[in-house]
Amino acid sequence: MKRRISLASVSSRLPHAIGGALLLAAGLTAVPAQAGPKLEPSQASLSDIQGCMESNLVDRGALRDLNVTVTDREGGSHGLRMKLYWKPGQKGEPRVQLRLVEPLALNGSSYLLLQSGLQEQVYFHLPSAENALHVTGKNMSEPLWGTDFSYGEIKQVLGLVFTGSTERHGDASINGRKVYVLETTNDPILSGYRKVVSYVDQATCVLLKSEFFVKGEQPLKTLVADPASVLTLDDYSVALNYTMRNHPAGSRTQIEMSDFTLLERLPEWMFDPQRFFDPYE
Amino acid sequence: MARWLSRRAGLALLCIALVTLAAAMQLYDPQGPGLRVRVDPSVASLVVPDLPARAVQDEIARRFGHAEQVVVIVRADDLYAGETLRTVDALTRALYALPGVADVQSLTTVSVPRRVGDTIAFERVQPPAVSAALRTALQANPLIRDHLVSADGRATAIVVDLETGDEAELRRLGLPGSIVALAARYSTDRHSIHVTGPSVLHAATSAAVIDQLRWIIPAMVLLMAAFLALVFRSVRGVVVPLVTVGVGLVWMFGTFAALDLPLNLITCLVPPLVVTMGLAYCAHVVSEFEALQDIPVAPRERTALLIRSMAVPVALTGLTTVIGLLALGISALPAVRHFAAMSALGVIYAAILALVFVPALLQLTARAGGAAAGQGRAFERLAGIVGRFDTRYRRQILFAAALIMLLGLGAATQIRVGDQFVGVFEPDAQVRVDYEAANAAMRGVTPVQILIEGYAPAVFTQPQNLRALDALEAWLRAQPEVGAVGGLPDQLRVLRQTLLGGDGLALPERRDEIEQLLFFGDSRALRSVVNADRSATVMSLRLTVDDTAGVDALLQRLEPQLQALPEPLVAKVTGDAILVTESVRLVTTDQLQSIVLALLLIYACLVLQFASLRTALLATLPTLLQTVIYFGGLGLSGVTLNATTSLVECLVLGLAVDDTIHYLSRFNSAARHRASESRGAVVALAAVLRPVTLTKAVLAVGFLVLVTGDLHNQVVFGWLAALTLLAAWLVDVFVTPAFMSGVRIVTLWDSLRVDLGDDVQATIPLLAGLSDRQARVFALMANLQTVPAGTRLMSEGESCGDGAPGDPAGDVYVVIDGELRIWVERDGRPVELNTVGRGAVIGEVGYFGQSRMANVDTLSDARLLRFDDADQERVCRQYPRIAARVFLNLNRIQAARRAGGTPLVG
Repeated sequence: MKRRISLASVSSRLPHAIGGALLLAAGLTAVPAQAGPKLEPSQASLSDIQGCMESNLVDRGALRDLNVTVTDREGGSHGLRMKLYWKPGQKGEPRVQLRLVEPLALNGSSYLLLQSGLQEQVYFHLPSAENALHVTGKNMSEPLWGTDFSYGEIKQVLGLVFTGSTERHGDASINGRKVYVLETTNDPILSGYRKVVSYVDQATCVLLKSEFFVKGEQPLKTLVADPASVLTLDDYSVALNYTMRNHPAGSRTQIEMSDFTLLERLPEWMFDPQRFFDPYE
Repeated sequence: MARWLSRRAGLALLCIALVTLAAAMQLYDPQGPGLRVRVDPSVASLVVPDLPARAVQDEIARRFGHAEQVVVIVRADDLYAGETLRTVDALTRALYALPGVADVQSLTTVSVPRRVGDTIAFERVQPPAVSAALRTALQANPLIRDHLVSADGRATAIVVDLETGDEAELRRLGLPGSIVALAARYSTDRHSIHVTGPSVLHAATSAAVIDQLRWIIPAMVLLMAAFLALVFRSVRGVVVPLVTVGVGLVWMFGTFAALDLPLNLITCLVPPLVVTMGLAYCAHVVSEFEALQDIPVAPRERTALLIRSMAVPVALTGLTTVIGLLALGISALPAVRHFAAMSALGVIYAAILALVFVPALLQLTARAGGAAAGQGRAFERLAGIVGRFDTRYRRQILFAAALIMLLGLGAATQIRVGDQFVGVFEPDAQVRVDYEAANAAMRGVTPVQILIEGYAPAVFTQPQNLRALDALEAWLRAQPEVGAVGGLPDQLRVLRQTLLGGDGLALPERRDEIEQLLFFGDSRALRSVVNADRSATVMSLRLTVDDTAGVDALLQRLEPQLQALPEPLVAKVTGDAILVTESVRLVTTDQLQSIVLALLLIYACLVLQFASLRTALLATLPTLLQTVIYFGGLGLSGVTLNATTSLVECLVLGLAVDDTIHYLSRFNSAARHRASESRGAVVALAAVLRPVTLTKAVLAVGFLVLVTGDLHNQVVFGWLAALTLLAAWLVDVFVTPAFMSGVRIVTLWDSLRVDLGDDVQATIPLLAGLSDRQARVFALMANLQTVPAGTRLMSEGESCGDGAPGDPAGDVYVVIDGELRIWVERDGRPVELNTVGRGAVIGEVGYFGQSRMANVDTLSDARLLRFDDADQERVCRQYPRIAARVFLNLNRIQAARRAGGTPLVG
């Protein structure tokens, strides 16, 4: 059952995956997930599963209510509100912009991710700074914005994998839903993780759970989707709520998504490194 | 009891064998591979529980996720040379792969932000090459310089985060041994690698403790066996003490196992103590047994005699030692309390074995001996010489003792309180070499944290609070004990320079700027210095000092700085170094109280024994002198007072007072028997010199074995104990006899044993009006003698001198029982004057300085109470009420004689 595949091609579609996965939660006409599998599980190869996950992506759109609630290691809680816009470039390359709404001190802070082949360009703008900054070589395993996610983990969640090699293991079941089990091994020094085990819903190709292993057989972090939040619209499926738990720290971060606009026509300057931070709405 | 035991030597040995078997079974662990005795090398054993700094340390671990760390230092001429970088990278990966390692930060894992125009490049050192720009960025980054890379670029730190700080779990994982082994594997001629950190020190301590137990006890036993062979020159004299000590050790270790008490830096001294105490008691008993060999009695009777003669000295010795040890029970440090309890138990074991096991074993193995007798005579001759020296130069000795006491008191004011961390290891120990190399390379490796609490969210996004933190960091960097400082201001300076640009490493000045920098600059490093709601921060220091005195000096200066932080900031300092420093401070205070308590308890024992507050006080003075010599020695030598060195005094206090008590007991009876304090002093010294010397020598030899150990505190313990025992021996042999020869001692037990006959007050006019006990006390302060029939007590016309002590012509006699004939010679013929019996007073004329007026002979064996002016003086000083009554009675007797015309005799 184990099949190995290089996932470099998945990495190239990553920003697209971010937008696409979120996009599917348009919610206005969402219906419960389909009962039957999109693929024939016994026949599905790793690339089939990957393709199935990619089929949940939508080309362009906006997510105007992305709520993140962090419960830190001391038990304190704080929230973030963001907006997400995505639109492909002229050659179809993925482009994503993220804007912070809350906390108010950070209102107007913006991120821009431009994918070009295997290369990824990241820009961000702080309200206190005059210009946007271009960031290269950021450590993928460092935590992000006070949450339990690292940049690499966000990519992992939304794009499944970003580097390393993956094998499909024997299928399993989560809350009665049959899942594909994929194990990705990485260079721990570079990525922060020795392996990531992902559980993908066979019915919807939505990621239901990921376990991040650093050392040993106990995961350092676990990402779990709320099964009740998995929605399907037409051929697209998405989980609206995810929770990431950092086990040693005892902290957790919950992501809730709503207020989608699919196939919205976004202005080109929103993805221009010189202007992406200008007010839009 | 002695007779009962002497008749059941076999049963006694059987009982002891059964107890030993039970103890051995406690030691055996059927579930595990070895013995059940645990070794606890943790710093916790040297730290007072419930210290506020402990709670702060736990709080930092909980709120900021600080992990137990091991630091691996790589030193090379050029850190950025390809080979060195490859080594650092390979070692980093190898370390990361070790079980139990949670994370590794090193030069090759860290991303260094470098801003060029509007681009921020996070660059990582990728061996074998590193660009000049990256090298410059590394050396200029305050979060890296002095933390991961030394300022001179010749050393780098690989910081290994461990998954747990639990030492048992680390041992199971083979940590930090596997880290040390890896480092050794990667070390070459071109770069040296040193591993240090709390867990490394703890593991080294553990190894040292176990090694010590493995060889110090056998070495001690062998050395003392050689000593015993030299002294006793018999197989029995060696084997019996060694077997006894072996049994005592099994009991001791069995007790440790049964109570589940670990051997730590302090309690690991208990087994050597049991060995030395056991051998000392055995030496005493075997020595006495050898002396009894000359008495022609049956073996059982000899055993009974042996037990009878040794029971009181050994029990008293044990009691006072136990008192000295138990006085440590007030210590706040659990390890010291355990040491006190287990040592006291060990002393009791040793005493029981010495009084039960040794006599029984000696009885069953008895055969004629002879070597000891010759040696005993040599000791007696030496004691005669020393004793006469003591009494002849009494004033000079006492003057010298007083001078030493004054000098000791003066020197004691110079005592420094403190302990060392890695300094407990000898200078050439690998763990110390590594620590010192790391300390030198990275400007300090002793971690200390300051938790600064703001008590409200976003306190540390306020610029004025950051400026206060920055000022505190600047002050800390200026302190000689501080090698490196890291905290929130440093993080913000780097973030500001990276994200907002601008020249230099300025602090952000606006609150919104700070909030944005903290949000976008989120990293594990940032989370280790400020919490999520920005209400608390941790400042990390690395100290260059390796002793609590240095840490304490810094704390004394730091405290006002922390107090001066603006409201609402409250700062608390913690770290292993702080915990040990505060513990040493507390424990030393406790130890001083323990010593005072021990002296008081010993004084109380002496009061009970001598039935006199004043005499007991005088008897305590030699012990006090030994204490002052000890503390004076500490002050002069520069050895610091700490948990270990304080133990020595309490221990030696208990041991030293034993011999003083032995001496005083012998002196009391000898002085009475010989009717002279001077002669009593010599006789008493002759009686105790051999056992006192042997005991102290055995103990000193035993303690001196500790000086060969790996742990500096035990080396110091060994030297101090041995030298203090030498000082105690000198005091016992020279000062105590000189001092006590001027003091007559009457014990309660002695007074109870004095038989003055019935109805003393009515039948002996001199003692009229005194209670029975007062009459006995007077009798003992005087001299109660039995004089055979036909002895001339005094002769007519004999000069009575000036009544000076030792001038027999000035003596007064009181007849307790027997008959005396009083007569004069006239014209060559005896003229009978009187025959007197019980209650008669004779010689009072001589007492007042006149010549004897008649001859006095004993007609029968007579018991007489003899006293002179010096005796009366002593009674006046020590028992003034008794003296006043006796004087009154003497005057009444004289007045009655004059009035009644009874001839005055003498």
